[in-house]
Amino acid sequence: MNISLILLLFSLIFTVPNAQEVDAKGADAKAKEDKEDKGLDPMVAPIEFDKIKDVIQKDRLGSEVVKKKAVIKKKLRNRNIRKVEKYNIPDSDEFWSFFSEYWLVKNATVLRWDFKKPDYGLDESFKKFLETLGIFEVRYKILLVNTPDITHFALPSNENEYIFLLSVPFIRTLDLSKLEISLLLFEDYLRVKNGYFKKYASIPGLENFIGGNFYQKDFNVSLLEKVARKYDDIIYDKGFNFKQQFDVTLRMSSILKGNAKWWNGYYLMLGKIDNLVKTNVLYQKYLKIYPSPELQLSWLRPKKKKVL
Amino acid sequence: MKIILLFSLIFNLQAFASEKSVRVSYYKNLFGHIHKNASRYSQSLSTIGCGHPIKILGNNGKEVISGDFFKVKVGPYTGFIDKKYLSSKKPNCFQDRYPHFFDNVGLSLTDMYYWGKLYDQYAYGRSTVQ
Repeated sequence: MNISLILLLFSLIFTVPNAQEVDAKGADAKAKEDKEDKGLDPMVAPIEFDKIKDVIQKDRLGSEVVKKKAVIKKKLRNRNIRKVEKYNIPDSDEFWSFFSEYWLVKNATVLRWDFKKPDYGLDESFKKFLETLGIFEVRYKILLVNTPDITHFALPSNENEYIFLLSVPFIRTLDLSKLEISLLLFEDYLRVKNGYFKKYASIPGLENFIGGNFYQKDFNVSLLEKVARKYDDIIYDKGFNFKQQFDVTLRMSSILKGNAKWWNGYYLMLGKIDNLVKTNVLYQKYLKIYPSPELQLSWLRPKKKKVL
Repeated sequence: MKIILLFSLIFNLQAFASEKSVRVSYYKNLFGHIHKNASRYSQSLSTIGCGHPIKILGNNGKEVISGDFFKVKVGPYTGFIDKKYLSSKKPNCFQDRYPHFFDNVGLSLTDMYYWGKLYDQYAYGRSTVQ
């Protein structure tokens, strides 16, 4: 047994160097052969695409490349569009809604709207009022404010949406009924619908700014600050002019004429306001914003015909 | 008397412990608040932004509803949110559509707080064809 093992070991020792020698010889021969056949081996030779163009075309690989290139190009273009879109500025519909709420937020402490208030049911009464007039699909938000500085006002919002501000001290002082409050809100609704507010707040440059894009441009913050100042102006100080008041009053009259109760209600409410602004110092600024209840009454009064 | 009190406490604790998330909804206004109680005037526990995921809590798979409010869990806070401000699908939020405009407007934390309060203070209405 031991002898056979020793023999096996010796035979191994002799065969390994021989095998290495044979391998080296074989590799040399193969390299020589390769050198000779270099031009013929398709695995080594560079592919000449011009020669196999027809084959590629037959396999439709060429059109596949074109398709893939187009897909990559489209992806890149879409990625770029998405990047640019992130710099979009809201269009007219969304901008006014956003900005009106922005203004309300910035003026929260002055307007004092963040307080616990009783549920007057104004949302329901105004809904019925509009529906009776045949005005449908109008969405509105009523915000009660706890200050006499703003009595009633409507801010521009999304299309067919209105934000109404209504002073609780004002409606309490006048002891306004739900119908009278609805009439006040409707007057404000007409003002916004006529575009008085937007027209006043639309400063030069705003038209191009709204719905635009500021990719690789500076964001125009000063423009928004100017619009906010316009909001302050119209709501706290300037209000509406005589012509606008005249148009709104006559429009109210023509809409309400079909309902004597409502028309009389409107007339009496204007009388109440006229009396308030003449007697209460807190509401004297009202005349600057809505000139003037006295004139409105005179515009509504039927004209006396002279009998000859 | 003490025994009754103890039992009622144990039952209350059990009821509270059994409230689990039944589904996830998303907040759909620009900003909003998680209220301590089921009232729009209730104290705010936290301000949330549009698209924020909200776990609606429920007992035995049924949502806990208190008036118009869902009982919810948002992060570490358990509170209440008005049903009408939640959406089952992720909303297409203003701040996602106009991210750079929104960033550049420069809202402070106070502004965000008040903006959330604004939606609680509105009385909403809509005239419809009868």
